[in-house]
Amino acid sequence: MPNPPREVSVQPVRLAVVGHTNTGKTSLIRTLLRDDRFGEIDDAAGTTRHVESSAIYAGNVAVLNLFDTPGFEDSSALLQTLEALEKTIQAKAPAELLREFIARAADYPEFAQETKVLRQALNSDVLLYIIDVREPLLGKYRDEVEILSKAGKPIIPVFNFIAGHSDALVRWREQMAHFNLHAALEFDTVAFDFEAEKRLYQKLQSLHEKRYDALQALIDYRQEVWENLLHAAAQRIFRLLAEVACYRREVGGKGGIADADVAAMQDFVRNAEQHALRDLLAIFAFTQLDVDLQQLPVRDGQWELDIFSPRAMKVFGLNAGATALKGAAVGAGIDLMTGGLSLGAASLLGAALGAGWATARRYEQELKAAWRGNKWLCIDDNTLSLLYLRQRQLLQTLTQRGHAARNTLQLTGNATDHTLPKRWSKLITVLRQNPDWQQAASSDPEYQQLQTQVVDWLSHQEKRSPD
Amino acid sequence: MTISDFDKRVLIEQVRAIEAGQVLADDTAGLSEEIPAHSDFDARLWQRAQRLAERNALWPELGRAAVLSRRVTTITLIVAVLSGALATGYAVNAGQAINIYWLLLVLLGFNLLSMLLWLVGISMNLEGLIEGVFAKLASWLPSQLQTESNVGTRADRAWLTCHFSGKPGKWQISTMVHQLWLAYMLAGLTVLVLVLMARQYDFVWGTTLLSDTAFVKLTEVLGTPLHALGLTTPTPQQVAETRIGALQTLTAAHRYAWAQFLLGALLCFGIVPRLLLWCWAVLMRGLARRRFALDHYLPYYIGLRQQLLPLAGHGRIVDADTAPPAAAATPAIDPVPHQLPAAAHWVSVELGDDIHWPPTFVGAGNDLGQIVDRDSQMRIQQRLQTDNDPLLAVAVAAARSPDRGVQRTIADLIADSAQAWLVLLHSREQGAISTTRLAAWYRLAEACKVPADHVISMSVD
Repeated sequence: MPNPPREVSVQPVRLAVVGHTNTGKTSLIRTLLRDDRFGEIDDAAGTTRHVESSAIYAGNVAVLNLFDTPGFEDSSALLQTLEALEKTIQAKAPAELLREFIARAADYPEFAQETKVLRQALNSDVLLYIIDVREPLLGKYRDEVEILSKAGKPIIPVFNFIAGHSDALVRWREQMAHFNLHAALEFDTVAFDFEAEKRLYQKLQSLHEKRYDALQALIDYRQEVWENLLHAAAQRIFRLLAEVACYRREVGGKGGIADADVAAMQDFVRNAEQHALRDLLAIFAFTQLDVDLQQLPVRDGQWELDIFSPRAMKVFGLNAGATALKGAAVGAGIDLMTGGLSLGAASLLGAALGAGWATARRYEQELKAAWRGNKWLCIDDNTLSLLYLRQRQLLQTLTQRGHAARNTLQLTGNATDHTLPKRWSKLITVLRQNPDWQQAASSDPEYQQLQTQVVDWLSHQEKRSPD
Repeated sequence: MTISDFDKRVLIEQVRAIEAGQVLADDTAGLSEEIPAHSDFDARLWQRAQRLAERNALWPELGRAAVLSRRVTTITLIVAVLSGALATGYAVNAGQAINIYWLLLVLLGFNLLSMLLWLVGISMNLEGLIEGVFAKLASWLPSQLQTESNVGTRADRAWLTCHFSGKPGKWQISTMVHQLWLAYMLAGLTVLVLVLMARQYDFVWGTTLLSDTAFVKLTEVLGTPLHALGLTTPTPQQVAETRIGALQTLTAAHRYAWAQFLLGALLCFGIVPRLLLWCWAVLMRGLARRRFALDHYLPYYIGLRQQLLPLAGHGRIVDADTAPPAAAATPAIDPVPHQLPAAAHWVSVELGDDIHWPPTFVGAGNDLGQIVDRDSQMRIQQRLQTDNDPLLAVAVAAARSPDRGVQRTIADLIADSAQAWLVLLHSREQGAISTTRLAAWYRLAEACKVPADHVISMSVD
């Protein structure tokens, strides 16, 4: 886990987020802040009517100051007014014209919102100009850029809502190039990915040499925090797997397996998965609103599709016919081959020395059950595979979203691959041989090693998954 | 008293265990002001744990396990001392003649065996073994601690897990084992010195299976380090003479040499190695405790990190909205399809790419064009001025959100018209238009003085 970099704080870079009304300025800030309580969002013009600031920290150091501004609504008239004003006062520099306009703001009550934007633009280091690429290329947008460029501050156009609008994106890029704004950025607040955020900070680095180190610290810090979230989620998924795979229930040997035993086992799996779901949503700070927006198959903190329903199996390409026992399988009992091998030579020696308490304990209950002629019920392979695939897909969805996006977007297609990792069955075998790990995580090197392996699978999956 | 980082982390883990079972009164919001700006996550967690312990009066529960463990340690040490003293006392109480190798076996043999086992365990890194031992020990704990789940037992269990599992646990158990054997042997040594001072013993040895020379050799080998330390050890002749039945009476020289050999062997082969191992274990335990880290990847800590070390500050309004609150929302009336006078001129405002202009129902003669920027507006405005009191239909895309600029444009357009209509165009592929969007257009019509029944809806499909 990263600890805050201990460096002398410098003045944070002031970043004004500007643009036409209803283009997602506040959404972008929420995503950057990872705070869905910032500002107010609505699908209507003029939702934000004030300038609101918030700082972004790298640990304890404020690196960026973001300013959310009201949207431009009537830039054409504003530009006309500025042109008229320019003739009367003969300002030497464009910024001076803006300052003069702001000084006479009382004369132009209709531009109260635009005045706030201009005032903030003059008081900022960089302007992020947010563009909804779904919009047509209207004159008012060109007027906005022309007005903003008078502030004499670097402008970074940010293309929002790009998912599925690649043609529009090309048109907008050309449009911005007319204004010599080539260093544009694609940042979708709906289908957010961390790389885009990183590119934003890198652009700022190139514009602000002096703050290069502070911005780099921010990039590194956010990278670490992001990777930590991934790691935490992957570790939680491993914990779920261990809980479920290590589960065993002693059942009477005669007369088959009672329904009550199967039901108890199924409830255990459902509960375990629900707890994991709650934790995973919490790790990524997912609210109910986010769950709805991302169209997660989750309702009231529970999976919509029961894990033991044949449809759930089918969704992930598993063969439902094989689950004759509804998720239950009779345990293999003592398996000295895999159990012994998984223990490793050291533990074998320990056991041979007659001091292997752990080994003895591991088989103690099993021996007792065998003595009584009972069997072990454990969770079957299909259920475990489904559990893993489901969590993997959930993780993928959780890592690809923006905070507080208003527009829903289908991100979880059915085209995801349902292949299990190569050493999956070995993992399950080893877990099943260690019922001790069911209660809590263990500091046993073998447990740790398996955990590392699963975390590795999941984070690898994340890194290569398409954005 | 300064508290070590390890103890701080154990306390944080204890609080975590307590919080897993119940919600504690927490005021993290007030905490942020108390914490020095440059403290790291662990320091913040420590502050929070302390605060929670204070507010919820948890200190007695949090400290219970440590107190209990100290007591248990003291009791086992006493037991070790007693058993060391008793075993020695018993071994030398047999009579005037002491079997020297039997005594050595009592004092050192089991110690040596246990040391060997421990060495194998440590060198092979048998954490499972250590954990297994701990699990066995834990199963002897009061059953109430194992099954009950209240604040106290959860705190105790967390304390035990931190101290007795993983690397710190391995070395903690090692330290305790060495400590007990040290106590056992030191007690034995003390008793031995006392009885040897107060009483006179003859040292003898005997064997049934081994040859006599083997014992002479053994004594020589064991005596080498003692000799190097300047202790008197029995000469081969003295060894041979102390065999049971070899001599009738042993001299003081015999006794002195054997007594020195006995005490020296106890020190050299029992106490000193244990002492060294104990020091090593204490060092390693310190190291393991220093390296003991909280698992920050647990959802619990991820959540706390977001609270205690936020990525961003809270929003602060720097330029407030001074405009009067917006007028109450105009209720939207469903616009009805409507017939416009055939002579009406058509102009569209910011239609966007989804609606093709002109639609089929607009004749080429009536089409004034589209407004997309200032130039096109100026051009159309000029054309309108040439007409006297025209009938004007302003087409907009119903799906788009109206802004002040659109409102001003429409107001400018219809300023000189005799009659004006606001036509909300929509295409089927855009789907239904939300009521809030319709309401926004009605508000715009109202602001532009277009009567509500002049707001009409038309499909371009």
